[in-house]
Parts: sequence; structure tokens; C-alpha cells
Amino acid sequence: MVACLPIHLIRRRMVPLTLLLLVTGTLYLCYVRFDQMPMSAQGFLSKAPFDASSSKSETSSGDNPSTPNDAATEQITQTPMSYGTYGRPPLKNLIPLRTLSTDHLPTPSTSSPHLIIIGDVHGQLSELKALLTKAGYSKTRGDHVIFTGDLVAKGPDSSGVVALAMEIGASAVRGNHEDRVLLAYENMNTLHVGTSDEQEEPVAAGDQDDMAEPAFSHGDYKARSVAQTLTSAQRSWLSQLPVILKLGRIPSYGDMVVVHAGLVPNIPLENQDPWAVMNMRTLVYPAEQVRREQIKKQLEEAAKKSGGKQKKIPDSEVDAAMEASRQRGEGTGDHDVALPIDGRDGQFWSEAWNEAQKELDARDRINVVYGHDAKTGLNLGKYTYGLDSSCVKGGQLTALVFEPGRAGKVTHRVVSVSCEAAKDLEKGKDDDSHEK
Amino acid sequence: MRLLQSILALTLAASSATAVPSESIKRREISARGQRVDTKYFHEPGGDNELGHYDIRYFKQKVPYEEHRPALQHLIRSYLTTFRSLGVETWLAHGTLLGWWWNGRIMPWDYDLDVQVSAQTLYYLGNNLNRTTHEYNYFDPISGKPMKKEYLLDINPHHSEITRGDGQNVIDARWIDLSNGMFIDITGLAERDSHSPGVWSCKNFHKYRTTELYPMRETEFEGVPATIPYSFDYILTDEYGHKSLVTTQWAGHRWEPELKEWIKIPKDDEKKEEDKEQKA
Repeated sequence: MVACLPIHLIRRRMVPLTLLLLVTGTLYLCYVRFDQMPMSAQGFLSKAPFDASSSKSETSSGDNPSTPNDAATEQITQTPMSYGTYGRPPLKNLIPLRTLSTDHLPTPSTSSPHLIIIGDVHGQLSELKALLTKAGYSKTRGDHVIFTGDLVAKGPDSSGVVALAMEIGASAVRGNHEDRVLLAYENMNTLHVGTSDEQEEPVAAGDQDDMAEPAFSHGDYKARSVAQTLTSAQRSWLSQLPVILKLGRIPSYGDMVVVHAGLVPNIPLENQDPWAVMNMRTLVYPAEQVRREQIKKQLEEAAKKSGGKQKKIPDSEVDAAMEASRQRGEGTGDHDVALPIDGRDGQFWSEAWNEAQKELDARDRINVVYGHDAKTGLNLGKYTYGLDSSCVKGGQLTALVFEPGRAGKVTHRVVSVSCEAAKDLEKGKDDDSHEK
Repeated sequence: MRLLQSILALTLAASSATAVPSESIKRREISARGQRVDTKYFHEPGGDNELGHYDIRYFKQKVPYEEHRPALQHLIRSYLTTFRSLGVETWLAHGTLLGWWWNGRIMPWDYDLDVQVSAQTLYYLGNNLNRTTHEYNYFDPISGKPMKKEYLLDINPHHSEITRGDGQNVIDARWIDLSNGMFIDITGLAERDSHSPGVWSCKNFHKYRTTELYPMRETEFEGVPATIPYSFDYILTDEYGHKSLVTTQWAGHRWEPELKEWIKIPKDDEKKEEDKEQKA
């Protein structure tokens, strides 16, 4: 091609042509390089048994099909993935799901009982009493109270809070702290040979870091001591709490569900993982992670090829390549499979939940009321109501009240009271947190 | 191009092979004459990955693929029920815990089973139950006949050594099927590093926070009561990555969501997959 052009044209077009040649050449070399990189070599890069780069690629139906002409798409192997399809045996003494009696739901009628949903109380009894008063709780009207879990632990009076909840006939879900306290109590009463559980003593005051406990405490002396302050009736009330409480349809809101931490969008309630429902904060997208790893590997190989030795690729470059990959229309199915984690490294589950609801028919949308995320605090979305406003650390205790409003509709309001921080709190420490 | 590829593959293989045991080579015991002393307690017939899963003392021949899973099922059922009846605390770990996560069963491509105990429990086992044999009775699933199997609990005499040492004794104890040499690895977990109390680890450098392990949860595995660590999701993703809980195709098997089972991909399909791979 170049040879056929007249000399004067070549001179004039020398610069752009050289550039073009260079670019195509590099692209071609990159293509050849990645395409022919042996699978075995990719396998060595990671020893994880589920390393997707060494697993066989399969384009499952529904995922974006790769275009044969586009060299770049061919290089990205797609790993078949799904979440929420497991069939594992149940966890003993844990109720995954229950439906609330419809009697408790508010109606547009002026005489309707109010539904009061309260965030993480953590043993702050006086604040709870103040909040019930401020929210206008009326037993005679038949008002019903639901707690989003974590009634116990950390604060001064776990037993008092449970006693009050029982007294007013409240409902609640199992939070990570109920879970830990109940399990710790069960573990305490299971005798194992060769262990010194019986002689366990808490460490001296002032040395209560959970990373600095006596060797055989199993790290749950706090949970055990909370369990011991409860009566057996209180423990058994707590053990009956479901992980997910379905409320049914609230007029002008639609379906509503209460959980402690969160839910994964587009997964039926029956298939939600109880550990995740009690602990999640964010969602990660493994397919996207796999794509990112692959793109990074490609960039590293390209750098190695041109530079001769291994080079570290800055994140910004990987980000740009990811963006370019998206521009090419790749990875549209990357967010189809989400995995819940308790850390904050992913997308907030509530954000993903709200996005997912918009895609659904109005009738299929589900509102979620939850607690757990004290760090974010009160967090109201279109379909999500985050009520943990960090009472136990001196924030507020919050209630969400559904009641008949004007114009014959059910409406909601948010009520809060200020809290006195519980003493002897470990700063920033939570047994169930993997935040960085 | 082929040559380049092989060089790349070899370099990677060599670097990953030398990276891990550098410490162990350095610390391997050398005798007065300069010869290596065999410090390994448990021995396997070796040769390939599969043979590594038999105890040499009781090994007769390889258990064929079809009998493999039932043999592992007897192993784990006998182990879990025996330990439970003896009042010994033990829980599922590693690939065995991952099998529980998916469907409460051994993953069909797994050749070994992993369980853990606390170092304290291991000490107790060493003093009280070492080299004891245990009878396990079950009904043959096909004939319905009552069957009997014998298992040996064998504690590595090096189990109280806190460090990984020369890397030869990372497995602390074994539950061995006396009829064929197949076994379960029992690893002791202790707070090994005095600088980070509350962090438990086994000799193979897997680290756990106390609060991730305890309080333990009760569930079932392969149809018998079993114990799992508190933060099972976190422990699994920490060890195997987020992919491990969502990837539905692995080691020639595919997850069937309706059946809740890992099904071996038929040979034809597998070949197609391989062809696809080679073309790519």
C-alpha cells in the first residue's frame, strides 16, 4: 500500500502514516500475545481453586455474547456465575423467614393502629422509653412495634430492653448481636472435652480489645456475659426472632420487609443467606472483579512485552482500560451476580436495591427497613429505610412510624431522640466488622 | 511463539514453586553427615496429586472414581459422629466448608476433607485418644445390609510444635480409614503469634480472628450433625476469593441449581469446552 503512493504524498503523510502503522502494529502484537497466552501459565498466577482465569470459559445464556470480529472481547473469558441457588442444610435454632400478622398493618382509616419500626437499641432502655413516648405509641390503639435487630449488647440494659419489647408484644428480627449472644450461650452449655471453658474469666478492665483476650475465651466473653444477664424466657423470645420479617403490603407503599443488615436484590427472600442478611453492608460483583484481573494481566503482559520486564500497572490505567472495555459494550452482565460482604469495599446494598426496584413492575417492588449501619446513620432511600443512627455511641435512636395521614392515605414520619453514649464502649470495634 | 509461551510458563511455574517453600528449605534439618533427616511423620504413596491423599501405611490401591465419594462420605460421617459422641469439638474447614456452603456435601472433585480443632483439643486428643481405633456402623445404601468400618485416630507427635518448622508436619492429626488408607486432615488452631493475640492460625499460615471462629454454629454435613465457624461467608471469601461463592463451573463439574448438586460435565461437552478454549 505504502509503496504504491507517489513520493510527495508519502512525505506529506509520513507522520500520520507512521503513527497509524505503530498503533496497528502494537495492537496486533497485543492481540497475538494475549490470545496465545497459555491457560496453564495463567493458572500459575493464582493458586485459588476458583481462579476464573484458569477455569473453563462458558458464555451462559443472557450474558452478552462476544463478537467474533472484536479481538478484545474474545480475550475476556466469561465465568458462569450465580448467587442464591445453593441448597445448604439449615442452621440449627435459626428461623430464616416469618410473615407478620396482617392485624398489625396500618390502614388509611383514622382509627388504624400505627406501625412503629425502631432501629438498633443496643440496651439503651431509657432512650427506648423516651422514643416510644415521643412517637406517640398507644397500646389501646393497638400500635405495633418492630425492632430492626441488635436490641442487645454494648449498651447498659439488654435485659431491660428485651423485657420491654416482650411486654408490649413487639416483633423484631435477629440482628448479628442477637445471633452472637444466642450462639455464645448455646456454646457455653455444650461441654467439650479438653477445653477450659468452665474457668473462663474476662480480662482485666481497660484491656478489652477483642484482639487481646485470654487464650481460651473464644473471643465471645462479652456475648456470653450479655447472654447471662438475660432470663431464659428472654433468651427464648430472642431465639424465636426470624432473620427476615415480611410485613406484607402497606397501603400506598407496597410490600415491606424488615431485616437487620440488608438483602441482595433480585434474590427471593427464601434464598437469601442468613449470615449476609444479618451482616452485609455492601455488594461486590465477582464478574467485574474477574474482568478487572484479566484486563490488568493483559496490561502487565503488554508492558512486559514492550519494556522487557514486569511492570506495575497503576490503578488509574486499569480503570481506564475497564472504561474502554465498557465503551466497547463489554461487561454489561457484570452486575448480574452480586455477592454481599460485611465490609464497605463494594456498592452499598441499599443503593443497588433502589436501582433494582426501578426495573421491576410497581407491584413487585419491595421496601426494606433495616438497621446495622450506624456509621452511615439514618439513611432513607426510595425503597430502603436505614434506621441505625448510632444511639449506643451517643447518636440518636430513630423510629419510622407508618400511620393514617390526611387524604385517606397511609403516610410515614421519622422520629428520633438523642442518646447518651454507653460507657466502656470499645472505640470503633465491632466483633462482626471487617471494615478497613 | 510456542517457545516463548513455554518459557513464560516455565518461569512462572518455577517462581511460584520456589516462592513458597523458601523458608522450609532453609530450616530443613541437616544431620551431622550433611544428609537430610526425614522429619515428616505422615507419609503418602506420592507420585501424583491423587495418591497424595492416602496414608502409606494403610494404602492398598487407588479407590476408583465411583467409589471415591462414598468412601469420603463414610470418612466424614464416621469422624463427625464419633467426635460428637466423644464430646470433642471440631469444625469444617477449607474445601469441606465450601462444600457445605453450596449444598452441605463433599464436592465431587475433592480428594480430601479438612477439619479443624483447637490446639487445646489436639493436646487432649494426643494424651487421651492417640492411636485409638473406632468402629463405625452404617447401612449399605444399595443392599441395605448393616456394614462396619474401622478408623484410626492418629496424632502427629510433632503437633505441639508451634511453628510450621520445616513444612513437613503441617497436618496435626489424621482420621484414617483402615481399609484403604484414605484419611481426613485434622489441623490444630492456636494463637501462635504472641504479638497478635486473638488471631488464630494453623501451621499452614491460615489466619482467623477469634470472633470469626467463635461462637460456632450447628448445622449438618453429608446428613450428620456438624459444626461450622461463626463467620463462614467471610472465612470462605477470605480464603478462596469472592468468586468461590458464585462460580458455577469448576473442575469439570457444573452446579445444577434445580438439583442443588455439582454434576460432572459429560465428556462430549467437556471436549467441546476444551476445543473452544484451544480456538480462543
